[in-house]
Amino acid sequence: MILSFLTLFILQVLTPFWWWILVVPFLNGLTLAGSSWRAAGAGMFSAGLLWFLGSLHLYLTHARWIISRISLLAEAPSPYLLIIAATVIAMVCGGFAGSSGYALKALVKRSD
Amino acid sequence: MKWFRLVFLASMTLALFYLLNFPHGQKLPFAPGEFFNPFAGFWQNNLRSDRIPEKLHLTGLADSVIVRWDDRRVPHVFARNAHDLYFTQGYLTARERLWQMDFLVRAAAGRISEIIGPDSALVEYDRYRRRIGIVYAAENALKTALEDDASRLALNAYTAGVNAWIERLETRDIPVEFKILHYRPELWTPLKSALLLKHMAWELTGYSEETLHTRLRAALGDSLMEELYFPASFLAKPVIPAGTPWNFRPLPQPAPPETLFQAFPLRSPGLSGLTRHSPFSFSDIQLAIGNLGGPNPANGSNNWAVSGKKTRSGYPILCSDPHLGLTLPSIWYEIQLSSPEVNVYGVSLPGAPTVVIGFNRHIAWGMTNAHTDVLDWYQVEFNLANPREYRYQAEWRTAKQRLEKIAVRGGQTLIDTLLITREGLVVFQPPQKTASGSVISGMALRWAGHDPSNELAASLKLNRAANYREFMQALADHDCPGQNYAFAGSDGDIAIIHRGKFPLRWKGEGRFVGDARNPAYHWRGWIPGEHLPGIKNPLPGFVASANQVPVDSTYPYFLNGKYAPFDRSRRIFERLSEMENITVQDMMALQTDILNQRARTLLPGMLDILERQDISLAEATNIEVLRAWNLENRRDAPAPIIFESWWENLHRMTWEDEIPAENGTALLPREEATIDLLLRDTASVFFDIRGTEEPETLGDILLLSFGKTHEELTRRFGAFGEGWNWGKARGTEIPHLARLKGFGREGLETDGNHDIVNAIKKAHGPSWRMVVELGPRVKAWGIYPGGQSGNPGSAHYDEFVNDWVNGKYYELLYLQSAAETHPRLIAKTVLRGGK
Repeated sequence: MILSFLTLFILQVLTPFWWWILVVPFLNGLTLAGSSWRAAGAGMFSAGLLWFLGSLHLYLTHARWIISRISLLAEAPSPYLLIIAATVIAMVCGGFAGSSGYALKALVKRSD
Repeated sequence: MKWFRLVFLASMTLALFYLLNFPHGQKLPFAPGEFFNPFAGFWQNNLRSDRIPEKLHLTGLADSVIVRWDDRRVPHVFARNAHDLYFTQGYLTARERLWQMDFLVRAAAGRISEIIGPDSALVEYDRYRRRIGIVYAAENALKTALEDDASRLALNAYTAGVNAWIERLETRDIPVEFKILHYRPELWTPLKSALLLKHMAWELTGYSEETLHTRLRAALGDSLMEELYFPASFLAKPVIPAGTPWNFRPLPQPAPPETLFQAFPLRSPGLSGLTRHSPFSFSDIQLAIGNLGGPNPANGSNNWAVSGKKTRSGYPILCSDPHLGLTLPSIWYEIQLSSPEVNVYGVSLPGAPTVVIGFNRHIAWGMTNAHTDVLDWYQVEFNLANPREYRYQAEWRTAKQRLEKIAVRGGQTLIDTLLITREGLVVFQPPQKTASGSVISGMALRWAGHDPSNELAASLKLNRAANYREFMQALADHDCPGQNYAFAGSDGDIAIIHRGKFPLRWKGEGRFVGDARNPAYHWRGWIPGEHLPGIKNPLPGFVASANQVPVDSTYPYFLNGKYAPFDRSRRIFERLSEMENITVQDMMALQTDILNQRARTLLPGMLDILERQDISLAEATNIEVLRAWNLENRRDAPAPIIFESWWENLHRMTWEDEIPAENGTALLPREEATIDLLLRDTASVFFDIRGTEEPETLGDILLLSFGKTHEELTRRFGAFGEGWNWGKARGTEIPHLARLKGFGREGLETDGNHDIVNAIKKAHGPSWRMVVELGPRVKAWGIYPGGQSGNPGSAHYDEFVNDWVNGKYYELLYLQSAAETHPRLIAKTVLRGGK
């Protein structure tokens, strides 16, 4: 789980692609996870936590103004809803991708 | 089961990828995954963008450049050659304002559908922009500019600088508007700079009422049209004072046609080529232009210069405040540009090199819109057998064709055929559908902005001019938009000139739709530059303009134009005439002057007549408020709301029964006509309301309009009390350029109004206030309603707005060298060529 989190963190910082939150949990499920629930949990946790901490950190440091303006644009009653939205997106992506990875692994194992 | 599980989960994962990786229509134009990604999405458009680098290596620079930054984030650029100077200007401007530059140019060129998608109104807008020939005009201008060495160098260097920023732009640093609308910045080209300049020219000269005048003339006749729509207000003071001798021998005035053309019903070819009559509605054209983003008729300005004989310091002072639509990011970007041949400070247009309004060590200049007409509409008769042919005298001529490709995001590219006739571009062409949905017939547009010209050359020379002679030489290159240029020099000279490329006209030409068949309506030349109205060092010791009529009736050429009413210019002339020992603070006070000249001229008489009428107790309270008013449109005062609403109602009620409306559109007479009646013809029959049994008088109209005003205000703000507050009632806003909610400023309570020197309106007003004192060391002050950064997540996005609302000024740091020290200088960047 920690390895997944760290890998994801490095890839997100070094590249502009959002979809690492699908790829890394998928690969984690495919290779390291011991069960479907663990794969989903690791994906949810690593992606969700990373996006939660990333967005919260920016809100508390440099990005308060832009977040406030985007929340006005989105007619969101609170800027924190944007942080929650980012976290939920990452958790859902991480969860489904992790489970998919494990499901493929399970299928390949059975074929063996 | 495992297969099912895998298929289900993989499908869900892929569905998530699809949902999050692509935009989904106009309601969700961004890709949510990319947008919400904290590492590259909107979160990254934050305060980090405010950091100023100490060193930069930029391929394309020939030598090192030093940029000093002051505490308002104004860059002071010191380069060793012109190329590096404009390269750096392009780079820095793009760094702060890239999205604004990109969007404005797309809007100017009719390329909005390309980024928004298949919205029929936007496609119509794009087609309209192509039809009025902004791209055509920009291409003509660019061709001319590239033939001039200095202009070519500046354009190419600026372009390279912008592209140096775009090429090093990381995804996370792309301006947030690109992320919201999910598109990427394109590389800059010199054509884009030309487009931007033509867009500004259109904004300042594209307003026209010819089509409505034509319809009204048929109903009212020539005499009434003259009286109501082209009145020579006796209150107006021309830019060039009355009585100024014209020291030139004028060209002969062109001969007018024998009878004035009245638009004819056109037989227009339909889609199938069958002949049919097309309903011809001029108000449709007006409506279409309005719906499609016609220029704001209020685009105006103030400027003046006072001689050292009238100032306390003994040095000339120049003031300039251009009134334009207010947006965030601001229309202006403040900058100092210095190289061995130039050291200029002022505001620039993001997207074009040089400083537009500003000063150097020797001179200062400012502009107001000339409002002299350089745009005519012609009715074109097309050949029913061949829609490409149009009639000129007795013959059929073939129009040139130009294909315009309108790309539509997520839709099919549309190809529009633009016909170019001798008289101009065919904007409305059968069976073209307008925004109003009606079918209208062939109308061609002749605009001075279409002609080859090189305003950039004028700007380059102006930035370098050292005296009046060089100032005038610089302006020789300025064709369109026509401007009143005010000038002050450190050698003591002051001047003003009504400068532009104005067609030679017979009296009345350009007021109505012209006949494309008749050569008498075709432009046949220009007023020579040396015959344009101007004045240098006049005896009163000042020059001034506020978009008013430029000359008195002795000027030997006919200038057509919808000039501003008397109010602002009269007030400025009055104050400058009576002021002596003028200080910079006096000039700031005049720029923010809020005396309501119209109320001062008319209100006492209006109230005297009104009080003789039968008024209610509540209305009497309003009269008391107006009687006690100090005539200033102060934001916390109730009287301005009453007066301004009353005036609008009075003007409308005087004329609405006389003036025919078409499709709900009625062009009321000029306000000067009403003012003239109130001051000189109080028994006018125009005060009678048609259709009533008893004849109404001025007293009746004043009472009716006052009652209506009271009723409207009570409905809006409740009974008289704290809610009656000019600032709140009018409410000023500075919207985002793309009208993104939350990205602009709303609910600003401001003083002033249109036709008041401090001409703040709802979303329009002084876009830059500048005061320059030309002593041995030039001192200057200025402010604009925005901030240097175009990033809505920056601390510098709108940081000047509150001070602008409160009429404050900042001292402008005009550095003489890169090594100069000043406590307000906060950072330095050294730019070098290389990787």
